[in-house]
Amino acid sequence: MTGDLPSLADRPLPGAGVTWPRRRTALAELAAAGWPQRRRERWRYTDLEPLAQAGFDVAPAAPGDAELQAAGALLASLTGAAPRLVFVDGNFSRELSSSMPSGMEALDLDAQWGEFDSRWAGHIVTTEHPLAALNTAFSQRGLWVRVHAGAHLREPVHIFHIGSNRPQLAAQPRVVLEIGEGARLTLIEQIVDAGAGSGWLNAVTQIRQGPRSSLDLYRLQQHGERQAHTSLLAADLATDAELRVGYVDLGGRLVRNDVDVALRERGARVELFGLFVAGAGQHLDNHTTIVHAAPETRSDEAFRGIIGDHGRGVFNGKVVVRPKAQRIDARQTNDNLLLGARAEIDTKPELEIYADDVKCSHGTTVGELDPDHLFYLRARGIDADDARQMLTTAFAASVLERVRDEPWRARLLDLVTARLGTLAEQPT
Amino acid sequence: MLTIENLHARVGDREILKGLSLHVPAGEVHAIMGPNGSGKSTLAQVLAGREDYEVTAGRVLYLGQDLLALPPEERARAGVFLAFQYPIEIPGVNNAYLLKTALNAQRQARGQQPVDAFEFMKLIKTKMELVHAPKDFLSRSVNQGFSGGEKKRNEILQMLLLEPKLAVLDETDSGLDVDAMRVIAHGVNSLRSPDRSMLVVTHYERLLELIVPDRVHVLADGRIVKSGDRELARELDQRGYDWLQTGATA
Amino acid sequence: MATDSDQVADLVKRKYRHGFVTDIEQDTVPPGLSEDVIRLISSKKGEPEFLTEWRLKAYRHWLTMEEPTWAHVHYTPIDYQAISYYSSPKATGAGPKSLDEVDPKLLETYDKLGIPLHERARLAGVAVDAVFDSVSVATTFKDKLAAAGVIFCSFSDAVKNHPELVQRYLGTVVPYRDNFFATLNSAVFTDGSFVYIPKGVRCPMELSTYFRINAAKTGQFERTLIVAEEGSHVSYLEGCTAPMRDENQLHAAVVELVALDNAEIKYSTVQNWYPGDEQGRGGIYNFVTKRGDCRGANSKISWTQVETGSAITWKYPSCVLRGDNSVGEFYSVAVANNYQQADTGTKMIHIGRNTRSTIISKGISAGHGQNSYRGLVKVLPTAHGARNYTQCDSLLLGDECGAHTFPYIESRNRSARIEHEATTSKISEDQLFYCRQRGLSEEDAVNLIVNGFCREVFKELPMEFAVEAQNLLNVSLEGAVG
Repeated sequence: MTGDLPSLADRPLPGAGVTWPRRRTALAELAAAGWPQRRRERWRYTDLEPLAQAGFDVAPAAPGDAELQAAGALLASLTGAAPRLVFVDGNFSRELSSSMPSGMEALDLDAQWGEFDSRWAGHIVTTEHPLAALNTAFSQRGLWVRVHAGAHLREPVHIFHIGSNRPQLAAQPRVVLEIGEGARLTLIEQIVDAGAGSGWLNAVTQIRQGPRSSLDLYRLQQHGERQAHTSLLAADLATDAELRVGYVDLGGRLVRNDVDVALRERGARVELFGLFVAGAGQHLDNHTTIVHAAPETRSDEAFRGIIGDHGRGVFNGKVVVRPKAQRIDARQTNDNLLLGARAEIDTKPELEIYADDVKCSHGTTVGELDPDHLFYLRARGIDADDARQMLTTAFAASVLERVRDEPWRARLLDLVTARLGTLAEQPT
Repeated sequence: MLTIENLHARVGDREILKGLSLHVPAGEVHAIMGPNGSGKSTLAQVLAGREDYEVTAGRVLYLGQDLLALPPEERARAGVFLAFQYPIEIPGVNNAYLLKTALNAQRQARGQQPVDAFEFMKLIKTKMELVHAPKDFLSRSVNQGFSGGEKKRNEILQMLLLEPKLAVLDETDSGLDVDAMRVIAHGVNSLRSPDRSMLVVTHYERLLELIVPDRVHVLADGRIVKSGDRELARELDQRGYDWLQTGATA
Repeated sequence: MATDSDQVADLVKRKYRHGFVTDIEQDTVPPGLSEDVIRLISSKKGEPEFLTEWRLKAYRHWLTMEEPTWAHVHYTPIDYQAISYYSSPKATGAGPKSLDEVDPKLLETYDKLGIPLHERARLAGVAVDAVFDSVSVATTFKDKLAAAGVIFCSFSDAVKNHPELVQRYLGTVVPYRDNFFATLNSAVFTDGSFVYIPKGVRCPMELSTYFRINAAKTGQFERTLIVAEEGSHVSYLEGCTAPMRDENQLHAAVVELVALDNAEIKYSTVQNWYPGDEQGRGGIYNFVTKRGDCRGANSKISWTQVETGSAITWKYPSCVLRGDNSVGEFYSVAVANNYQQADTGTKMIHIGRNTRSTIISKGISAGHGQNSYRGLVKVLPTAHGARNYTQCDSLLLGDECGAHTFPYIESRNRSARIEHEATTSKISEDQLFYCRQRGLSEEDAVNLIVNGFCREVFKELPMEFAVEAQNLLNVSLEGAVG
């Protein structure tokens, strides 16, 4: 562990006493795993050493009235009367959340700690995700969401992560999501900050899906421009379970998303897609791992990056096919558009295949807008800048097509179009 | 030439052929017709030796030999040819190369000398004309980028080259337009001879107007339920298959 | 500068540190690596001062380095002090006197590979003077080259006869600090090839290591340098399909290519080093650093390789596309059968304007083999208009092997266009059945399909190599599909 980080072992552990053994184990795991640094392959393009040295308060006090009020105001501007779960500075806030529709319940993780510890221990491999261990050690007021077997929830449930403007704060929300057999649910997650943000959000979401269940999870990240963000989404799928995850990353200064999906039993399927838009000074990194551990599983992954001048994008998509995982289908694409002279992209689609009766393919492209397409539009009377905007927006929109919730897709398109507009206005 | 007795075959745990019996004398062209799912393609694949299909009962005699005891390549070298319904693409493998290798494998089995590149080209050119194969046919990879019609013509080209004793044509007419069908039929008819037999598996009657069969058999629910001459084919074309089903249910 | 013989005499008179006195007539040096051993190697070879110094610098740097580790390659650690770093050429008369004394299994392999009769004796280690054909062929060859002004000789000869050329180019493409094995090689390299093509000359024939008459048993730490001056062109073939044994397990070669304006170098390799037995024991570790510098504008360097041997293969033939409009190509077929491990790929570094790179990699895994493609396409901010196309395909024969792909793509220039595609598949039952229905045996069908899979790479090989390569592929995959 880097020597500059204030000794975490000395820090008083938060939460109830019953949580401390688990937290201590997590700290030991973090020490054993080591901090994510450039020298290690997983963080080769995204050095998280600065996070260790910035002096963040990893177990801040709960948000006070002022923070909650500001969060409430922000919330009002974002949503209507939808069922919602709200986190402020990493703490689940029952006052700001609504009641849950029938078929699901949202429980305080602290109250379920014994069960959490026994049933979810070992779900995350901390040597690969040291920051998840940090989250376990210091997360407060986490959430356990249970969706009952057979429940079909028609209305999407919203999850909000709101950052107050308290400085030097590391918010560490923890969400554990259990989807019962045959249940169906759509979750829309939004990450916003009350200001430019100078803090760090280190989030962990763990998902277990029962057989034949279906979950759509759409996440929109719109951090303040100085905010740091690291997150892990770890999902396990049982027989014929179906997961759809769509990430849209527009904000933040230093963003590193890890998504790990394990297709543990026969017939499980995942569709994982994302769009990231990096403007000047932004570094957006998506690291995904999909493991085919059973036969007849399917994965379909598509990420698109749009990098403006002085922006930096990183994508690493790893697909692992274990020896007995036969007759699987895995496809992956990553397409990147570089818009500025000093835009940078590092991409590495990886395949590790140990079974032979498989269909695996991946494709990656990097480039700028096609001059033929540009010319076609201009020949129809559209001016150059507008033509560029249209094509760039079309590039983004094609991955947004995968969002199955219509109103949300429309909202995303508006937000993305607006963001691309501000990207174009940045001086090059 | 070919005698099938009480053939039962299944794929997985689904039985598809349920006691099929058939006799095709040398020199004759027999048509196998039947509704979808009756087992027509299964019959073709079983005769060629496709291992996915398990024969659970019955026997097949080909020129007096037990056909089912032979692996696919030995059946081929003994003169059995299957024109696939969905010809397979083999990227990077030159069409001409596959043909020459196949031809020489069969010649070797018959104790004949292999042909060299020059002789092969002479042989293949005339056959190509018969099926109206485009000039670049030979230089392309096997079936890669071929249209449906081109794939079927490639199958017939192979048949003309390999001169089988028993040719099984599995729905060769599916997906073909009228002109393509004429070309294919012409190629097939050119091979008719007293020591050659053909089994034409088809769903529609129109191919049989061009390749006139000596016998027509109707396959329904895994068995031959009716046999007749070419008139039977016409009758099926007009009345469909339903009227047979009542007779077929056992 | 003192003459070579003065220097040698000097060294002979000197007593070494640690009381390590040596007799220069000795044929081998005891195992172990130290500055004294290096000085000894250098003096035995009669090398000029600059080269001895260069070796020593590399050695001192090597001592500070850590051996690299990779996720998908495992081997028992190498004891560098147990290797003997110098032994003189095998005395004549030590090998079999004629083909009759050669292991019949080996001859059978030569037959399957289609190796011409007159080459078999030489490959089996029968003394060269017993084979008249190859000597006379080689002599005519040398005359032709001399007429064209082409220098093609052993590296050791080049150091003696063209030291200024060696000094100008050595280490300019693969610096001695480059990586652990390249650094070791720079300290202890034994011999290799030196090729120099003068301005405007198109080398009249394909150069092959086979034709270096005085080819000592170089194997272990080979060093090759090829320089193509402005407007010149050369095609170089390395290796051969015959299974090559060596009592030395570690092979760490370095190959440097330099192409000036409008020059073209085509480097083809067919490698079949002993891969170990069916249990994976005793095979050769092949750790090679190969790099081509497209220094001049409009220059072109192509690497084509067929790797079927070695227990462990670690090589990334690369191109630095410095000159404007320069082109780099990499075509590879790599086989990992039984317990072989291959971690191979390429690096294409785009620096100049309008540079182009093409990568076609075909990996075949069988048995318990592990085959990894590791590639890097790096576009620097100056590389306007760069173009890359990569196609990476894996074929798995059997369910106990693995195929892995790790392509790194780093772009810093928006006008660059990069396309990467990878597929993984097995030989489908449908394809096999189709071929068998046409009369091919299952083994022939597999060979046909595998060769079809590799076709795009094979067609880049010079003709004779292409035929041999196909046979080699068939032989290495014998029994792989069952």
